[in-house]
Amino acid sequence: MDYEFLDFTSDVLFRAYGRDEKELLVNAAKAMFSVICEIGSVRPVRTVEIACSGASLEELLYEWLSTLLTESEIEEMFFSEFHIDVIEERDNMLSLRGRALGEDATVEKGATLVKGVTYYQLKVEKRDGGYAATVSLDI
Amino acid sequence: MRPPCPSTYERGWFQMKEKLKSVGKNRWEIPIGSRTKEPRMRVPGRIIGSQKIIEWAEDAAIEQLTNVATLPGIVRYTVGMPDIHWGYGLPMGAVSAFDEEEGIISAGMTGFDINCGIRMIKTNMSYEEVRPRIKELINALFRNVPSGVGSKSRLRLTPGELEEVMTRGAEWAVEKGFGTREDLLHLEEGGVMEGADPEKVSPEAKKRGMPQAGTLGAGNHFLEIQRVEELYDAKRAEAYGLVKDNIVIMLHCGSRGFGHQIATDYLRILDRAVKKYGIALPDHQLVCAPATSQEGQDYFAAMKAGVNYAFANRQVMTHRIRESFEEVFKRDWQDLGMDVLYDVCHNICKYEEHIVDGEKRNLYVHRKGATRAFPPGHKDVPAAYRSVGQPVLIAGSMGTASYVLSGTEQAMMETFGSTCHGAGRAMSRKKAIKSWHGDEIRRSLEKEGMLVVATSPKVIAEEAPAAYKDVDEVVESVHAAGISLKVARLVPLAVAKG
Repeated sequence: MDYEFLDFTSDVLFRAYGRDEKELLVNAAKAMFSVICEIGSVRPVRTVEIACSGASLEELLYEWLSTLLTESEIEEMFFSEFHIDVIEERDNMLSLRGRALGEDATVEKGATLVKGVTYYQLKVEKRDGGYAATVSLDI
Repeated sequence: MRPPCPSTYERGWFQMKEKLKSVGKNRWEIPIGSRTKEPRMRVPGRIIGSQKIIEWAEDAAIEQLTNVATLPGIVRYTVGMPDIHWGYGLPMGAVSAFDEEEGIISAGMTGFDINCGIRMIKTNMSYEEVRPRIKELINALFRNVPSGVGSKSRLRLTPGELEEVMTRGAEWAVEKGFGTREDLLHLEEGGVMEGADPEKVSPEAKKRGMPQAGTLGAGNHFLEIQRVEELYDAKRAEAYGLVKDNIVIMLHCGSRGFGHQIATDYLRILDRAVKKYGIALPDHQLVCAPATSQEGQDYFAAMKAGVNYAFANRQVMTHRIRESFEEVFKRDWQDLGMDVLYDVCHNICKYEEHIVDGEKRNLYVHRKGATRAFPPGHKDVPAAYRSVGQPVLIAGSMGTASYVLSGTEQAMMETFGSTCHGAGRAMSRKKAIKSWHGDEIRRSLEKEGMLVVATSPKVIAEEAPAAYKDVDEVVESVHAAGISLKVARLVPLAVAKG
């Protein structure tokens, strides 16, 4: 399973899984964009470069998702495909370079507006030789 | 009834609710000792609401009030309104006030949607006149006011224009031809908060804001045609220009991606400030900075830019609403009596003067899902309404009633001049989507005489009336407590949702 949604009164809470850090971040991005748009019908025809950093894997996840959300609104795009090219550690900071692919946003392919990624219950855990991340979105 | 979120379940469902003490009609106190962990509560909590409201309230939301009560410089008590429900950091439907010297300013307590608010536009048309054209009208509104994820605004701000929007709010929009100066006289703050500083807003927020001005957004934001069903207070109704059976328009939206980005940026900045100033936080989402610090004041100046963007946004949409009515009725909007009744902010931090224990104090009042409710005679109530008190606009959920209330002296004395903002969610969106299909809801509302247009059936299911608390009970609670008084009940005829 790449991700699943948990029941949560006010907003959206999901858990994403990955065999490694890169897969975890990719699956978390897919979970978030499956809320924002009809992800299955968004064609990966335009690429946006993404770079961000954080002091921990949790912070990096928060920054990755927040940056994707910001870029999707600035570029007026929906994303459906994600790639992490590099995650490197320098001076106690984790930095990431990656790409998001998608197409121009349209009402037809739009779903739910995400206002922001939150710190609520934000957690990355190592389990069964892989990772699980819990993320809540303010919608 | 299942608990609203996992943390509540883990900690025991009614742990907080059992600690509530009745302290008068529709008033409950959460005593200082209710939170048993560090940091400890500095002040108690206060909830306004009937017995039924308390039964509906989530334990986790009450616990959040106790968390906020631990923060430095908190004044008197944290207040929960009858529409209280779990939110990030501070619950929705809550007010907290902080001392200007000892206190803090928090982005989490203002919310992601800075200056989310409600505007009401009147008409001089009766229900009977409008009824045959309702479908045409709501379709024109849906066409002219961009709504839904992926929608595009006709208005594309240049960097220079955005700068003006940030500092001049609705005034900028009026100068551009989106309304009249008379409109500005009927808005909270006159449609502009002084002291916004574009330098404190990130390039990302600016880029996000440029294409989105004049758009409704999505989720619980809406544009609704309503009928004035009942008047409770003839004098105030007359002062507000409300006539029984006439049509009004309610607009609910905020500062769009511009405000969301400001909130996101300052959650990061204030997260660092918490560590820098050694503030003990009971919940990460309450990140804040001392009110006197650079970080605190920077957020306040950036937040005001977001507030002004939302005022401009609602002003531009007011123009589109008027255009839509002109298109359908082939008459000028002035001829249709489409004046602005009022515009309230319900996600905001304000610097206000209040009397606490007989002493005048300047406070940073955070209203998150709470509305200002200033009394007759207050200098910040527009001249047109000063003799009767500020209009308070309360949105019901889709398919249910909305209200116009009036601010009171009791609100000044008890709730930092504040009251509720709406119905408050009772069910998760996920569960709502599982429980109903949007088309079923649409058909059932149509049978009751209400039209719904939306970008997708999913949005309709998410916002199903039964997913919210009963707005009538919420309003009865604030009326009975005297923190605002009922003026009019409005029923929906047609709604456009994002």
